[in-house]
Amino acid sequence: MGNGVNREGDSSSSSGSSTVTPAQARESKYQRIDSCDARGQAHQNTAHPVLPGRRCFVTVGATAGFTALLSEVSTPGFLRCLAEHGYTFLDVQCGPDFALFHERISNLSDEEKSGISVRYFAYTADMQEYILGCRGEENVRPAGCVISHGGTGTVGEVLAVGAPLIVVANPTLMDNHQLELARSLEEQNQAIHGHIGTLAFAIQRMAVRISEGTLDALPPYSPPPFPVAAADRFTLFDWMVLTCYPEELAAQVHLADLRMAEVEFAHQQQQQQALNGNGPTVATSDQGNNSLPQLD
Amino acid sequence: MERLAALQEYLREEARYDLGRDDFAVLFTLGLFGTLTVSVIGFFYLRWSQITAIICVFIGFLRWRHVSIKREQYPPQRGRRWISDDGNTSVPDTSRLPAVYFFYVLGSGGHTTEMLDIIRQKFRPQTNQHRRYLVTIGDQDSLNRVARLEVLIHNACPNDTHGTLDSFQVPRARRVHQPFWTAPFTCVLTAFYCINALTREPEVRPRTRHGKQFKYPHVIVTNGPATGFVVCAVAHMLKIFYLVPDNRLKMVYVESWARSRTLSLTGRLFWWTNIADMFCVQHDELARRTKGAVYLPAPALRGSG
Repeated sequence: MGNGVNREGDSSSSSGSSTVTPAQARESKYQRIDSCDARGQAHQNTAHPVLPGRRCFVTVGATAGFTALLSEVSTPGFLRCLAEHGYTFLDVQCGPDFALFHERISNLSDEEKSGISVRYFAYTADMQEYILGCRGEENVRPAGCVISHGGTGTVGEVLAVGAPLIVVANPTLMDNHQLELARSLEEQNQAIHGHIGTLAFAIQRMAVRISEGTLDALPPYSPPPFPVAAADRFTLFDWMVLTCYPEELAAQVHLADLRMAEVEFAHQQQQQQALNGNGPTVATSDQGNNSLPQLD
Repeated sequence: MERLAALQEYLREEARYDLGRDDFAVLFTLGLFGTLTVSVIGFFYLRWSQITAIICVFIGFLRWRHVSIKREQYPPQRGRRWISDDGNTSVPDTSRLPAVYFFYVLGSGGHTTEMLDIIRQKFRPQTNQHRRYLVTIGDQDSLNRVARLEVLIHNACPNDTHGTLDSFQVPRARRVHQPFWTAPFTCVLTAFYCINALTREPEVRPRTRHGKQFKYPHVIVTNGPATGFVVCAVAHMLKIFYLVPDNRLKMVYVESWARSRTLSLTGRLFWWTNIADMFCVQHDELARRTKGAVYLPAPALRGSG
């Protein structure tokens, strides 16, 4: 996989070369657009449009610092690993440890950076812009990844956008509670649980996941609708307001009961109809199958 | 953009705290000092048995009030039904009520994001609603995010259906990494500011038009931060001493969805003291482990499927 990266000049001719494997072709498709605009333009006309390199966004959250993660991210080994997997950009939100990260990055030589362009800042008001940069979109950009601390704020934002996510728990916080979230996300297959010291392995796992799934070619992002659909709305809080007005609450509870009864009655009637109309064979199957013959 | 800047400015103005103008917090403080003075004097003039008797009566009163407030509370089974009532979109209808007044406690960072997610998920356009946001002093980031959510709300809801809003600032109950033994002192400081935030009438809902309907918040919604527990403890004390009617200041605690197996410290405090009217957790597993908890599916996890 690393071959394609070392031959920087060959990126535009990769699809024409007979010796490259499909994996190499895919990798080399995603690199070095910042240094080869003119060739990139020429390449647009062929079958594969040239996409920018993958983008990695590291964030430690707004409240507490996470020195261990920042130190790991600024090692030459990690940057080399990123380059090997087709990444060309690294954005880092450093939080309170901005000075430390600045020092570590300035001490790296260009060679140690492996050609990755690093941007870093303490805080940003608009995280979503950076997270969107890591979300793969068909013919716009390949999927990168977000490396995040295990805070619900960041993790929630990333999951809502649908960008690939590596969660690293920050062990210095109260009861080490981020570990719990990181583990449960890994179990539910929504994120990769990364560990300090072996982040390169997490990047590798993410590369496998990206190459197996459709993360590189998602449809364009559209923000969720607001106000949310009536069926998805949390009604608990409105009920709680009603508990301040007992008479109104009683009336509304009664209404809700009536409506439930209505729905149940309709449901029963539908079942009865299906039973009468389609004979005993349909009646033994479940509700979902019952409605199918009626639709046809 | 203009609207965003205007809202940010408005929130910043609103959030300024001014103790001298407020009568309630001053009254409460005077009452507290009065009680202290009387008890110090009483300590010299009364016998031990009498002091013990007075303390017992006082504790008994607190206990009795606590129980009688709890008796009016709705059981968690009710809450579970209210949550699982999907598809039944026409109830509950709160648009005919004289006032709907929510009090949101915003923590910092992740707590704020979660709370704003919940607000987004529960919002319903109606003219009779007022929202008050409680932020901690110096938490400019939360105020900015509230302003952005409010712009979203204002753009989505024409004709005044977005309701009104204001905000208050209090000192933080416990800073991240602050040692636990100092936390009670900062909590007391926070508590005094909270009395003010809970009892000051919103100026955008003047009494001349709305009467006393907007005097106290109906529902306090809080998640993780320690400030949330302080606010709820203060609200409960106000109810115990008959300073606020029992049918106001209902408390909803929503455990952070970071917690899938164990309760957080604030969660445990709420669970032990049992002051929240509805105790929600956002993981199925934790809901099964915790007695009296209601499972509220997390908006963030729901969105990704």
